[in-house]
Amino acid sequence: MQDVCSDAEMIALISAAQRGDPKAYDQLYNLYSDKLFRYLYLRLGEREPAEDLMAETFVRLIRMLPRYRSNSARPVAAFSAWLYRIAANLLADHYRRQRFRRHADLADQVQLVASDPSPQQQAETNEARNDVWTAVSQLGAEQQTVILYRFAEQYNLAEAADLMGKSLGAVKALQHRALSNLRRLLAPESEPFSR
Amino acid sequence: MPRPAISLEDALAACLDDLDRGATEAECLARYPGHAAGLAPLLHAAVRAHSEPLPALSLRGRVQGRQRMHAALTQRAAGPSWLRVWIGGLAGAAVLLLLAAGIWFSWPGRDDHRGAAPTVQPTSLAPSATTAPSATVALTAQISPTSATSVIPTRVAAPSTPTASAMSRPTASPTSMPGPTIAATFTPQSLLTSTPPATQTPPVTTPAPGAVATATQRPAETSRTPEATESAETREPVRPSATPAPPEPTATRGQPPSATPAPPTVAPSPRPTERPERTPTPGQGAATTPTPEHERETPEPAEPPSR
Repeated sequence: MQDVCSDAEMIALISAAQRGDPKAYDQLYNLYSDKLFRYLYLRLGEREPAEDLMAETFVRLIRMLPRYRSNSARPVAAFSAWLYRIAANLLADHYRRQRFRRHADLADQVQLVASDPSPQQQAETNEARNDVWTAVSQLGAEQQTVILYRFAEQYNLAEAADLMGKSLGAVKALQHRALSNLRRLLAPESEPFSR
Repeated sequence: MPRPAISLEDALAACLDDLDRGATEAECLARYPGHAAGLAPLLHAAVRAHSEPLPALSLRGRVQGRQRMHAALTQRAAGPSWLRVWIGGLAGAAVLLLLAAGIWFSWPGRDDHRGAAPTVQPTSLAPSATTAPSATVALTAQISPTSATSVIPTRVAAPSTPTASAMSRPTASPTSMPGPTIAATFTPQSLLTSTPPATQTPPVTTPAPGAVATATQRPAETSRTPEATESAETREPVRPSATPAPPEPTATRGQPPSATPAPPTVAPSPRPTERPERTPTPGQGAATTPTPEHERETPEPAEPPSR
């Protein structure tokens, strides 16, 4: 897993957070705020609600962490999966409130993260990002998630399976379908889209 | 050297792992030449997704999120205020009460009870209103004849010296006193049961020869009750309010018996004919059995009926 945190450190961090240590919460925020924002942004397609739901995820984390029981075998993966589940529940609530899913207009929301790119490079990067993540946002929720975990968050298959609560073979097949659909979306003249 | 047969999914997963380790796309395709045609576009899409980062959290969003988290942390550290807990409890209790009231007022059986109440009350009141007068009538009918018949034997033994007034008293009392007549009219059963002791009393008392007249008249008086019962059965029943008012007792009490004529409508005419059959002492009765005319001649309505 790409978290800059070992299992022992995660256990200590969770214990400190459960005791109400603000620094532990700060560390958890530094570890997961970007991940959660990307996850939410990919699903929502808009920056502001994604940031709002990310902050709400940590507020709910504060409320629910005292009842959290740490998994001694895989503390980091278990905690990450639990945190993503909180974000997914908030997403479900958000969708329930909105009654419909609004697709993101990534072209209006994208911000450059490259360091000192030339204007030409920046324009090319924006165009390429728009194509890729706009296409990803058109996938199903699970295919979006597996693309996010595997290629944006850099999780391996086993970690992605843990986070999604699926078997390794299921995630492998899901990854294959997601990439096939993504390729068709990036090249519309090719085969039809399949879920 | 081509690897053994492997599914496209497994080949894709292996190639992606190789890419993560730093291998190039061409190297991965070279390892799986059998799936090269299928792997190439997938690896190309994966490389694009891998190389194109998603938008990062903005600085403003990061700061605001941290502030919200700390605010929530501070609020939780302070703990829930007791006022809030009490307000929440009261609100919950109010909601429960409202629910209970709603269930109570919307309970289907309650409408049935409510609807049945007005229908039951008039019906329950109506019989009581109708039965009440009948109950009072029954009471008066039972009490008055029994009292009259129970007192009559004692009165038979009392007058030892037969006088005109004493002899005329029995004949006058039934005619003038409407009480026994009313009682006999309404409760014949009670009168029938009460007459036997009245007829048995004359032998017990053994009145003197002078008192034969009263003894023979007493059975006549007591026998009057079945007689009156027969008349009551044959005649139209007389209601207590419809009975003829007795003659003024104050006006007749001080006058001699002959001076007060008995009302002809009240005196029963068939009574003397049945009287000899019911007299317990034939000898005495043969001597001084009063005739109906004699009864009519000596009415004495002054004495009120004994009770």
